[in-house]
Amino acid sequence: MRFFLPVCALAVLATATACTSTSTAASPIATATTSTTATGPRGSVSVGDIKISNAYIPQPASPDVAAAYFTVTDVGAKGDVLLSATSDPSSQASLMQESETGADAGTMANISGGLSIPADGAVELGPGGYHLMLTNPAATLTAGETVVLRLRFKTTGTVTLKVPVTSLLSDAQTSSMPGM
Amino acid sequence: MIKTRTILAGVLAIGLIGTVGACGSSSSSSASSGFVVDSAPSSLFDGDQLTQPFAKPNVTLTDTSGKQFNLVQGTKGKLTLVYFGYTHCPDVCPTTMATLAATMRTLTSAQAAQVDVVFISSDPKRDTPAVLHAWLGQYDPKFIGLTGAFGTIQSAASSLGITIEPPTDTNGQYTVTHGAEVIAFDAEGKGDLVYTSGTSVPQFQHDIPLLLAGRDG
Repeated sequence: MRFFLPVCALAVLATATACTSTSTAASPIATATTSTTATGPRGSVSVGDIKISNAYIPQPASPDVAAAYFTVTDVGAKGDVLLSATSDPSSQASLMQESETGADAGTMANISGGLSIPADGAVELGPGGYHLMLTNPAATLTAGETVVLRLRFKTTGTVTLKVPVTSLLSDAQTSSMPGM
Repeated sequence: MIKTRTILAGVLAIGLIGTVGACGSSSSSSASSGFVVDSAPSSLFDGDQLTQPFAKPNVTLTDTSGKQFNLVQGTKGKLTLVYFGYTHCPDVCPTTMATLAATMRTLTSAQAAQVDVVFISSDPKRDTPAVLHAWLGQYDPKFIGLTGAFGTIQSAASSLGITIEPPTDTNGQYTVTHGAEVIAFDAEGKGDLVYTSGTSVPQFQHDIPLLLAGRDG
């Protein structure tokens, strides 16, 4: 079974690329874009005062759990709160925070009350800090595919964006500065 | 060479401090613990060097093929990078394995043959040998995955200064702890270098050849 995986991945990659290019024009998500940066494909969207950038989901090694990373910027003067999220393919999406538990160990916990985005500020969800955990995704998430996230904000409402699934090693720390 | 590294380390440290200040609200405490790594520019290594080295735990667990594996015997003579984590972990554990896998791919085959990466499960009940095999094999089929009785694993972690708690399941909310660092043991089994979460591929790439050459800080 394992030997067939690379072939499947290639096929999916080709399909996903085709889907993305044909669906963009017809998409109701007018401002959502998927671009390729030096670090790989990234999703972004802008709705009202909220801008989501640098969105990606490293292909998970586990079939049961994945992490979505992105930066939320509020260009307005009031700030906002990211309350919850849903995904397609569906999953149980939870806002989590990585934290130390004591002597050289850590765990993660739910962010209660949502994630506050300061006025004229930004919060980064990245490896080692905040992340949106996707538990039990309905489909296997393979590099080249796209996951649609609907982020529910207290003030702005629902922000929908397309998030590329990037390679398994795309969350390898390549810079000494975490999250960059 | 040493002077160049020292200056570079100094610059990195300043850059990191700047990052902490600017993004304090968005980084977790576990990530920021990595920032002490470069604060000792006198060290030859990018890793955090301990004054009191750890001994490689003489622990016998079960490997990904279901066979008994003694850590000391099984990794004898190798530079051994040990990490405690779990496969249902969305964030730090995959990031750490991705970083180590990416590092291994930058080494020459002769160098890579002298390095063992060992992932010890902090969630052994769910991380069966088969689950570990499927998960770890995606990063690098040569990575060693170990599972077994939680108490045995907890003792091994404890001997390395890492406190892991038994996983808890509260109303479907499954909570597991993982180690916050990779510990490097040299070919003699002396573990005096620690790499906190957020350590990068270039940092491992810098230290591994020095460790293989038997250089000491």
